[in-house]
Amino acid sequence: MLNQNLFRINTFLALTALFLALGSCTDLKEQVIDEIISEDISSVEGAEASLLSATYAKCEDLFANYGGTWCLQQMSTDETVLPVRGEDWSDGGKWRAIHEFTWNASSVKVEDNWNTLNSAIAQAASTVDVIKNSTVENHELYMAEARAMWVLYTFNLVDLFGQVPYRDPMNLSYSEAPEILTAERAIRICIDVLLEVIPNLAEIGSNGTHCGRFTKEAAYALLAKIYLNKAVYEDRYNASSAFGFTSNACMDSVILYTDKLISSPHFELEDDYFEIFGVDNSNNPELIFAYIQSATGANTGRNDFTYLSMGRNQKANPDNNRGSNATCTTPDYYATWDANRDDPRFHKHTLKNGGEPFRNDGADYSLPYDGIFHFNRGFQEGQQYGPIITGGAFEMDPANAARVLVQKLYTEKTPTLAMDFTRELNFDDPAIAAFSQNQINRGVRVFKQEYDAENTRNTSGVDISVFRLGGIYTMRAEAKFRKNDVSGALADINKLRTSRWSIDAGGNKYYGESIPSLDEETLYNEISYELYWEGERRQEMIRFGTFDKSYSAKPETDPYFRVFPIPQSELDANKDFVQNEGY
Amino acid sequence: MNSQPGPFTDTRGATERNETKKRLQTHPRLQSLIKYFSHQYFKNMNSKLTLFRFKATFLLLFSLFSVQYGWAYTKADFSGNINLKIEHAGLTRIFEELEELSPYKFSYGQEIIADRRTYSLSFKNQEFRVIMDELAGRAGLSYTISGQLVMVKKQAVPGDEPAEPVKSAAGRVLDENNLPLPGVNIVEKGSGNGTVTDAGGAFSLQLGGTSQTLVFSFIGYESLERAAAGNMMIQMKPVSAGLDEVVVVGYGSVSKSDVTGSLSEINEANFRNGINTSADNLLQGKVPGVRIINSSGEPGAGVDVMIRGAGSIRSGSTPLFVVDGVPLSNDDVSPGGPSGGVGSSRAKNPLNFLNPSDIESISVLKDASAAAIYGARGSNGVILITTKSGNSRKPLFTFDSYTGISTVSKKLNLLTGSEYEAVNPEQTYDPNASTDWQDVILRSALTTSNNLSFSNSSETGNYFVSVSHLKQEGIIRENQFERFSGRINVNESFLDDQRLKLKINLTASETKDNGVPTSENAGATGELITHMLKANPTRPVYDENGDLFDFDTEGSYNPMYMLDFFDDETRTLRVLGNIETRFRILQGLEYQFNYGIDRSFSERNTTYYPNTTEIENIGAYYQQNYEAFNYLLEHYLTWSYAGNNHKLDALAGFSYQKFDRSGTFFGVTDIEDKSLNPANNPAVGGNQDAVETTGFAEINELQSYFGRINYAYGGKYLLTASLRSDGSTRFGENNKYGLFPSFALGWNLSRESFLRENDLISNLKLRTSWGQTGNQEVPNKVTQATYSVASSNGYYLNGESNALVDGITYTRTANPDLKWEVVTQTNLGLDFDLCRGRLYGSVDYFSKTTTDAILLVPAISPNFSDVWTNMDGEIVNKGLEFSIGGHIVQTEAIKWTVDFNGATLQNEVKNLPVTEILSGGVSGSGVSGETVNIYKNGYAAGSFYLKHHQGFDEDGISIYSDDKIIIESALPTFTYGLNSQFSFKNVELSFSVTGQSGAYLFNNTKLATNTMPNLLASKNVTSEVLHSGQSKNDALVVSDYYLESSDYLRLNSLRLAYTFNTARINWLKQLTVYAVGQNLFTITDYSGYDPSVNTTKNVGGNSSLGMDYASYPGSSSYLLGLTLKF
Repeated sequence: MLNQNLFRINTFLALTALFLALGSCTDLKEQVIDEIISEDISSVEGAEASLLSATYAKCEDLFANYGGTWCLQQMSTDETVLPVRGEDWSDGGKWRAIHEFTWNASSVKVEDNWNTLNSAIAQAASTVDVIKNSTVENHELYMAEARAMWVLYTFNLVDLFGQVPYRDPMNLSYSEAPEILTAERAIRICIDVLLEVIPNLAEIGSNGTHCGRFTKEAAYALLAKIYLNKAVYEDRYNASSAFGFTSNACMDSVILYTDKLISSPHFELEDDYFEIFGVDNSNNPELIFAYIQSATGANTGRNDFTYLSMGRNQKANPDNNRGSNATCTTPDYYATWDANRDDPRFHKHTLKNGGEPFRNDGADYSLPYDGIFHFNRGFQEGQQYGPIITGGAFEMDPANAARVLVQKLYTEKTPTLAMDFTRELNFDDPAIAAFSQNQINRGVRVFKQEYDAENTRNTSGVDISVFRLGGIYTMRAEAKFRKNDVSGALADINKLRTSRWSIDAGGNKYYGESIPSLDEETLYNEISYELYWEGERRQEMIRFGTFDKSYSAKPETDPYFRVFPIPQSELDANKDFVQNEGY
Repeated sequence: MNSQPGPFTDTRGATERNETKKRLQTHPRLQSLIKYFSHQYFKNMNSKLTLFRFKATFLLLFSLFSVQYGWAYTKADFSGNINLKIEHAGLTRIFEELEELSPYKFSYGQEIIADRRTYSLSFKNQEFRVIMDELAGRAGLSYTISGQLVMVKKQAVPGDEPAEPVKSAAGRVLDENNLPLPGVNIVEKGSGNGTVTDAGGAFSLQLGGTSQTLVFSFIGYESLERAAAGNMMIQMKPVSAGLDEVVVVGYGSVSKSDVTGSLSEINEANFRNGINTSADNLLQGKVPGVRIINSSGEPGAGVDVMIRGAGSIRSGSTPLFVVDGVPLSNDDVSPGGPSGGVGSSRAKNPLNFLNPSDIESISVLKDASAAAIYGARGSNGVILITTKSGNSRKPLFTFDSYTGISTVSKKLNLLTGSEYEAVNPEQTYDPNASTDWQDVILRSALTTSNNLSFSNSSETGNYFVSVSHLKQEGIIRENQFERFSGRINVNESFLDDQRLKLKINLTASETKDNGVPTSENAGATGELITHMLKANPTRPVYDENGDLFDFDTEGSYNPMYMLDFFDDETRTLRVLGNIETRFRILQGLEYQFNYGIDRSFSERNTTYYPNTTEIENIGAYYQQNYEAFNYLLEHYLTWSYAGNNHKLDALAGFSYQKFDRSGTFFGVTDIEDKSLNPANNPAVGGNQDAVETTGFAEINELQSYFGRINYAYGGKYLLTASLRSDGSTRFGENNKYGLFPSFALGWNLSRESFLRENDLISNLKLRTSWGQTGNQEVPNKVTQATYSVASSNGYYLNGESNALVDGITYTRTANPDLKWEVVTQTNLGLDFDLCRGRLYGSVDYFSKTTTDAILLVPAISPNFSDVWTNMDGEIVNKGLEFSIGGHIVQTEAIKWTVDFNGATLQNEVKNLPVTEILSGGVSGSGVSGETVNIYKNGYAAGSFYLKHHQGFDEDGISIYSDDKIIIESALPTFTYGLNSQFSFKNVELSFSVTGQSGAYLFNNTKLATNTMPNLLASKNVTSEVLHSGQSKNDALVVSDYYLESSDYLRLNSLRLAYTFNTARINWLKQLTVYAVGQNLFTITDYSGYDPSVNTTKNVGGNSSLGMDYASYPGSSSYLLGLTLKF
């Protein structure tokens, strides 16, 4: 009996012990096995280069994506509109809202760009945060580049949104609330950081750098741009757009930095203008800083700026590499080119289809074909022609199988509707940028960047220019003009006009001609002749006081629209923010 | 139920227990010995320990004797086995036959000769005594063998012969599970003299002499009359609407009368009839407040189960599923469709691995009192699935097979070729062609299902084994779901008096899904269903060469061609098993150990062959692999005490569960030709770099301590309290453990003296509960800041000519303070049973408030991404649930039971500190980024937020309100189910109706496929749209024009079964043939295929509600099947 009880007690104790022993088998510390935990980052081979890579890669969504800053900088202007086209591009009105100036704190594109810019800023700051403790070779260079990229992204935030939530990359903490900077203070920090890092940045081409990296030259370009616009940020709501450009020697700074670049042996103007935006534009002598794309690498780039403007039945190859029938320019802007059609920057008939010019006027019967059909460049107006796909292949010239038939194009979604890109938009409701299905071809298209048809529709090897020498000339011209050096300004403008050539319908090369004089309006137009479709228009319009005026589907607007609202989602998350004036 | 009630049901336990004894009795030398031991046995019954000793000694002696006995037997008696097959023979004839076949001679009296009944016997190679036992059982005989003489007598019928009157009666009363039944009323028939059983089910009663018969009665059990004896073993059977049946709850089971929480148990007899691919579908329309919505009509498609409304804004309202005590992870076990091509699609239902025929019962724990024992995973409710075990006490073989045909329930009324030509001659391709693209793509689909199981049970254990095969064709060509599964459940008991019990459940299954190019979020290029609906009816399927006709480049493709260039197969292997150990430490105190594993592998191969559409036109191949290994380790102690008026059950335990899950994804593009499937050799893809290879591997651990007390006083006053402390690796460093308490009270009013005598009210119980449960369904790692490396985030740091330098980015904005979401729920319920089961039911009112809601919201900028955080604010779900049923007719020949259940739901989002959260992404041309759902303070979760369509102007152009309006109707305000079971003799007829009202569905399919501008684009429309007044030039705007009522009433299933009379075929227990019609008709105003679908259109981790986009059409099925048992 005693044994029996003993057995019982022992069993009980043993089980209780087991129970308790097994009772605490984990401290619940989460194991992460498919990602690098923060503490381990410095031990990862090549982490600094990879962090810097990711910092640059943030450019894609901002500068190469039609929905990035390009959307806010272009679609709010008279240069670009993305209207609703029948069943396409309604997208909740997010595109047309930008053109109609009906955006608000809940607008999708406003919020998207705020988030994208802020995540780019955070990426740059985290890169700085890791590299600042690094001892790898080039860490000072990497650190300078990361800080400069932080400035580039922060500058864009200032330009678009006015206020900046600030976390110092050199003293980074995500647990504390960010300081809210005014545009003025943020710009001061941007300039200070750039000046601080310039000594550590590489001169372009040295230390393994190229135009895809932020070099001393990129810093000069950014400084010039900051100084060019600084007066706007300091007095954004000036009712008559009378900004104090010439105060505080801002224009002198613009001239200082643009001079450095124009006199730099590393850059020269590209005479074949559209090649700056061509598939083979890598290391183009005009590029100061560009976002490098590759159609075939693991990060395949984007073709946005051209395929957005092309008609859906404009096909560059029979794999259905088609356009999207989206963006076009407005009649208001197009009219500014009326007296300047012979400018080589307006249009170029391509010779890439086997050396024969693509006339695109119905006179082409067929063109040589090597697997890709090349469209003309620049502004595209009127009836369009091109190859047609049947049974997975282009229809070829029956007389010569090496030649592709060039036929009159019709709209894909409405096959009876000829693809005629009209100059006029003629919205049914003038205040609403929307077309019904039978109006979907309207608007002159812009094929400035080359359509890279090599791979799939949405991949591209075209490097996207952020700063290039042509733009530097326009900045210097503007600075000189504002300092009343009109002849100096005219010289720069004419340099641009006369350095470029294009191809006419007969396949002949022609150069641009100089203009005799310059006034503010001419300068304003000339800047856009050089920089149209490159994400510069909104800043130009604000500086020249045209942004508030009415154009296309946009009415006359108040000065507060010169800056976008802080998104509602940010106001919800960060109660320290006060909404921008007017919203 | 499997066990057939027979004349010996009440004493079977005792009979079988004495089986050994009976065999021994056949040898006269043992008779006196047995008599002695039998006496000892009963004398010592109260001392288990002594009994153990006695048993051991007995066994020892028995084995010793049996050696000798066996030896003696072989020498003296016949030892050969007999083959006997005889039909419709009288007893004397059978005895003659047996005399022929054996050396035995029979001796019997006049009463045997007078017996005119006939018997059919069939034995192969069977022992003589077994045959005699069987015959004796059936003919009511007793026999003794003396040497070679068999003496046969008719068994004494009670009361037939005046036995010696007993002065006192004693014994034990057991319930249907052979557990002691306390509180049973025992009355000497015809007198007021009586007693009740004690906690051990024992009783003794001095008889007054009025009669020799005792009447046993207990609420919820059928009353019994038995002749009084000194040693009675009574087994009571619950009445069919058994109020005291045992229901499965978390970590155990309780008798229904002791339940204080809100829970519903459905067993096999009440499961939804028809083709059920997964376990959750069995519950459709059966439990109030449980809404089961298929994401589409595709076989095996994901299922949304929502219990008591939407308690969460983010995706993750799925309840916790627990299979035989193993809580499953809610993660997908198979990959969804890869993004790219037609767009991504949701993974198949992770419960597809479980064969529904293996399921015995499903318990749904709805309120906090029931679910709080599952702590941080209980807030969406808990569904406990119990698989079958052997309980037949005899070998039972079951074979069930059915074949079914499914066809589309409803076709959309698209224009025919001639109608199209009449209204749209410009876009008519061939005026003589009239292709019904729905007929081309949809088919009559065949389903075959075969289930085979066998089981048995003994006094100490049981087993159940099954294998099954289901092959279900989808109603879209090429689409198919197939499952092979097997299960083994074994229980056995060991040591003294079943002190140690072991139970093993193991199931393994392989499912194979062949998918078609459908998706939930197709881009502008569309997917199969949208193309089927849009395809121009004047275009042919095949061209003049017999090849698939190429629609060419119009953004509209031949849907048959899409099927042709697409290939998708998912194979998933899943094994779930657990071993449960119970060890009784002391009487009433048990230790239990449960170890479970859940292992799955899945591979999905998706191929787009090169084609002339815009969908992966150069060809692409994607392979996705998922692997999961989860295991569970649980220890717990249970203690039961039953005193005179007190009954206490206590539980304390520890649980640890680990979820390991990983996956890979890779792909190639530029598939060179169709002759070789890249799934067999991805190297046929020309571009190995174009698709980024990705993968993941995550670990989640849960560690929990839990306890529960159930206390009952006098069977009248009930108290349940539970507490669980749950720790999860998903939570931040500072918030590892959450505490989840619950309390519940119950009052069995009908057991109060003032109601006890009431004949009308058989049962009346009031319940109330309060408790908190949690929700930890957030992605892993969100509390940690980590970096990831990816080529997609890389850059050509050294120039384009050089290799891409992979990018390292912060993966997320980390929230180290994240903790579980809390749901506080109160419940007030009433259970009633009137007129002994004639009318029964329950009513529950609940109020459920979610606080600390976990949401993915924008982080304070600058930051990397949105952040998972606990938000202030509340989501409130309130509702009234009821179920009411009755045995309307209950005669020998006719039985008819009707059950009706319904639930109301009122949902509101309150005090959220954000202005709005949008979800429900719309698909279609020109609507990217648009949403329809809004979560906003003061409105129901997932309300619709849309522009109001005010009609068409004279040109057929839509007029809209300037601003969007909120329409609160994504969730139905009332859901209901009606179930009827009718039987007349051998014929059974049952049907089930389900429905909902107050809900709207956003018909995104219509928006994407069926508007007048289609006619300009050479696409089709329905005749309703043609006559809607809309112009071909009306622009597409997301608005409430596409919002439609999804109220419906559906005949979910109708089953007619005939059970053959098998009494004459002694080897056959049951043969039933049945026909089932499933989803026979639906009354609804909804213009799409099916009002009861929910396409997942989540945005940023927040749930969409009430969306229908390109849903796979629902089907109606007709089945013919048979069930065979022997």
